[in-house]
Amino acid sequence: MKKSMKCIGLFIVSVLMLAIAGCGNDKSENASDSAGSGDKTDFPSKAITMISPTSAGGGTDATARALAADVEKHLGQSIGVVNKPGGSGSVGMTEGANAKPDGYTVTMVIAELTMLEHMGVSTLNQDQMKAVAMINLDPAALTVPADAPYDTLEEFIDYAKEHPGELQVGNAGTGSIWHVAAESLAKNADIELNHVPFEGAAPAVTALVGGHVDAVTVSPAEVKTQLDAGNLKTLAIMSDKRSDIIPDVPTFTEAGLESETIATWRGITVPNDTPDEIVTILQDAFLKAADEEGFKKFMSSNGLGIELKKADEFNAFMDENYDYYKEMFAELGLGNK
Amino acid sequence: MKVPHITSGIISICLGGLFYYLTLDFPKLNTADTGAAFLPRIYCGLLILFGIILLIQGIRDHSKNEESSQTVRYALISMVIVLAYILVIPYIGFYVSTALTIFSLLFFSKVRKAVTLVSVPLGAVLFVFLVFEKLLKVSIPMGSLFL
Amino acid sequence: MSLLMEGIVNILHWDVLLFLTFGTLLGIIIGSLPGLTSTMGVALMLPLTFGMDAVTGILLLIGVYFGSVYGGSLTAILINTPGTPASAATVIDGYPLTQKGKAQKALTVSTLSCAIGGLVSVIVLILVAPQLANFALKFSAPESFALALFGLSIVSSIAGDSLVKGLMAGTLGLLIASIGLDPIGGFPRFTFGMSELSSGINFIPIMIGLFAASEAFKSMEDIFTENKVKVTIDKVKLKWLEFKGLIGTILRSAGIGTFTGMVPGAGADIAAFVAYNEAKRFAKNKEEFGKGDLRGVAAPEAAGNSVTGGAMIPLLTLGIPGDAVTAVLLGALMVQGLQPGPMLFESNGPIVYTLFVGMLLANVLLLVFGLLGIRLFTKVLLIPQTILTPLILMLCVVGAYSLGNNYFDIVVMFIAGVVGYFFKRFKIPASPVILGLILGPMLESNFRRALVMSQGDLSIFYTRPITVVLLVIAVITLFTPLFSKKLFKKS
Repeated sequence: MKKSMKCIGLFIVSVLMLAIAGCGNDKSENASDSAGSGDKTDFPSKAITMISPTSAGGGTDATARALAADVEKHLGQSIGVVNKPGGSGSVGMTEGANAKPDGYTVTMVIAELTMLEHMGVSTLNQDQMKAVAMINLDPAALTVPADAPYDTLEEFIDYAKEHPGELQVGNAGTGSIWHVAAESLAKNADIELNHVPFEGAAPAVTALVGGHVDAVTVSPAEVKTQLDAGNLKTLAIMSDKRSDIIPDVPTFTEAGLESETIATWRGITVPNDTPDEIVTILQDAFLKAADEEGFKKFMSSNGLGIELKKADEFNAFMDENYDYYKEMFAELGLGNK
Repeated sequence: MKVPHITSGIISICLGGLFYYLTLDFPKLNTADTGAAFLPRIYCGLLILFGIILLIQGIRDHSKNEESSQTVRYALISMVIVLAYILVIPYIGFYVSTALTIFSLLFFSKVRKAVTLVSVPLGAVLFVFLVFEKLLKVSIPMGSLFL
Repeated sequence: MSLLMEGIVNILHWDVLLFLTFGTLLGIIIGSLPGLTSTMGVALMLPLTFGMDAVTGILLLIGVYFGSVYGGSLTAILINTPGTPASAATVIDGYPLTQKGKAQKALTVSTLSCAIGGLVSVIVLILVAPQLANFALKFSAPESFALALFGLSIVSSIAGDSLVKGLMAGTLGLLIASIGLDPIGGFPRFTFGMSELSSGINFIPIMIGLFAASEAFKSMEDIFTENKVKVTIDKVKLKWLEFKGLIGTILRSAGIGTFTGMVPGAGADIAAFVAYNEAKRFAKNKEEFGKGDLRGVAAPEAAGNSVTGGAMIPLLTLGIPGDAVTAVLLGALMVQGLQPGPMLFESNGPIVYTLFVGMLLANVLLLVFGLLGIRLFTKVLLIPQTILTPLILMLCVVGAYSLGNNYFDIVVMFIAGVVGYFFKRFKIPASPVILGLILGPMLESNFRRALVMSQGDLSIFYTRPITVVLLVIAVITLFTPLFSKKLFKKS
């Protein structure tokens, strides 16, 4: 009796094994998404999946969910946000790049897309995806405790020159965008800073409030609460124009130091072979949604900046980013090739 | 407990050794901290140390091995069934493969009542659909065959 | 006081109460399902709150948060499957109690401890939050490193019969935790070029595999052997005298949990393990720990749930989220136009106190639902093993997947399940692996960050008072069993 059970068990197993062999030609590792072959003319005819390459609860996730809710109105189809965290976003974005190119799987991409290759984490870059629209951009903001002995960028640099290597600047992890920002500040101002990496921007800000580091270079969204509470002050932002979140703070250039725009950003992409007419439909829907009052209110209450770019501008922007980080990473000796 | 001690001791030593070997090409960055390899090497050293202690304990141990290994095969077969289950999910999707697996496992554990064999797999699938997919909005893999 | 009264009045609206109840129930469900964490539950509900008024929305999320921390222990006790990391320590004594037929008693203790722990922490939050908040800020890298080391040192008390095997398992956990991008240099370690590994292996699939899947494989075996373990359910209720004996443990654990909750980066999982260790340290009779001691359930449960109130302290008073759940809550508060921080209490006093009353009520709801549900929950044990086992294996797979919608996590869960099965055969304890996995990243990143901050000067570890105290306790904790128990214990 027992033996026959075993045989049956093994039989079932072998049937299942055959099933695998039968579909062995399919290379996709994870085919969870509801993407299907839709008719191009009546796009979209069914629900769309949006991949968020971060875990539930983060700023990217919140942005994706808030945006999805508004885009639904313009596309007439529901959008489900799926979190695929891991590998600095490479897991989710790679899956987005390899999805069926029919427009039913879109990906919320983050600045890391143009950095992963230089970091040595993944071979993914922006060329493997087709840009749809850019939604948000948050520049690095040099922020210090409210009682720090410097009130301007110039005074900060002077202080750093008098105390070389003593100023501790917290960032969101080695090789993260905020680390690059601090390194770029050190390079442009010719000062020596001690870079302290944290697991993300929030712990770095906590350490700044606790007085364990002297400055952070993270986005205004991350420090907004503490700015409002009067615990911190932002000296300048690394952008070519002022931020809507903290309009009183000057840009680096205004404060007397030439600087590139160093910012985190979020946008929408689709797989490379997606037909152009579908990209256009998506682009228009996403840009309209990002202009809705509800979305704007959500973004501003979270300290997130809205920056809209159409597909071609977004594409050019990503290429520019890619080249800049390539140079920057080589210069800093980061990356692991 | 002679065999388990010796086996786990040897595995621990091998694992420690292998990972230590892998740390050899970790770069030493020019920073104040201890570098990428420092703590993993300590962990590997500890694994080797504990492995050696277990090995000695095992060799010194002369008590009879009381654990019968006769029953292991049932656990192994169930592992193979689950492995097959996991491997087919990407192709035939979660719902079909789950129903098939639960059916196989029930059959394997000598359940012959037709009602049970049908209702448990279907009930389980329905539960996942309602709680995970509908209530909690988890995207359950549908499988590439059905796309 | 008048603010508190105002809070009570504000909460007595049917819609507020309805959503709080709904949130708590949903939280219990989410918590009891493996792979679905508190963070995920709160994040999933977040968009729903945008359309609600502030109090209703936030209390819905708080209900989900509190409920999920409690819910994880139900499955931990009944089927050896911690629903959330907070319950990883509960299985050590909870499941043996179920095997002895004392599931109802264990669940009663767990429910009471959770509710009391939660209430204590909220009361602490109401009374002394601003005074305590600044203490949380004192925690920098060296303090967090010392706390992690202290947490690791309790491996000796959860090791079970063989200390060497426990230490080995703990070290294995630490080594697995070091897989992925190195936290300071950003170098990918042991990733073999796989991008899934570059952010490290998530410990929740490993936890599900080690505890739940391995147990399921084991019971497939039991089905075929004649020595079937017949699980009984004793109807014996918890006696007042037994409960009285637990009060000390519960209150101490609530204190540990509230404190741990305040510390940035330390959460319910760590608190539960530390409280378990302290319960054992203070116990006169230690033999029953690990084999089904009620104190071994009361301690981690009270501590795990009291983290909730503790974590609210830096969030509300300073606007600092100590962990992922509070980070989501911070977002929720800000969308509602409530800016956490010192000004919150002045500008939005009535709302804050309404939230406080809501938090107290959420814990009372836990108590009510928990005690009412015990007889229902224990029905799970009446399902024949032949049917329950396949269902648990399915839950392992769907739970591991839904954590990050990642197929890779299912594979990790499976491997951990197979390894965990052989751990059981070889009598190697699984809990130290989880402890190592939870604390490994905290230990390493803070150790090395401290050295970056001090520019390589080791004195940073012995010149700061909190660090020194924690390090001393860690050393004592680690070495006590070495003297009380022979290292080379024969099996």
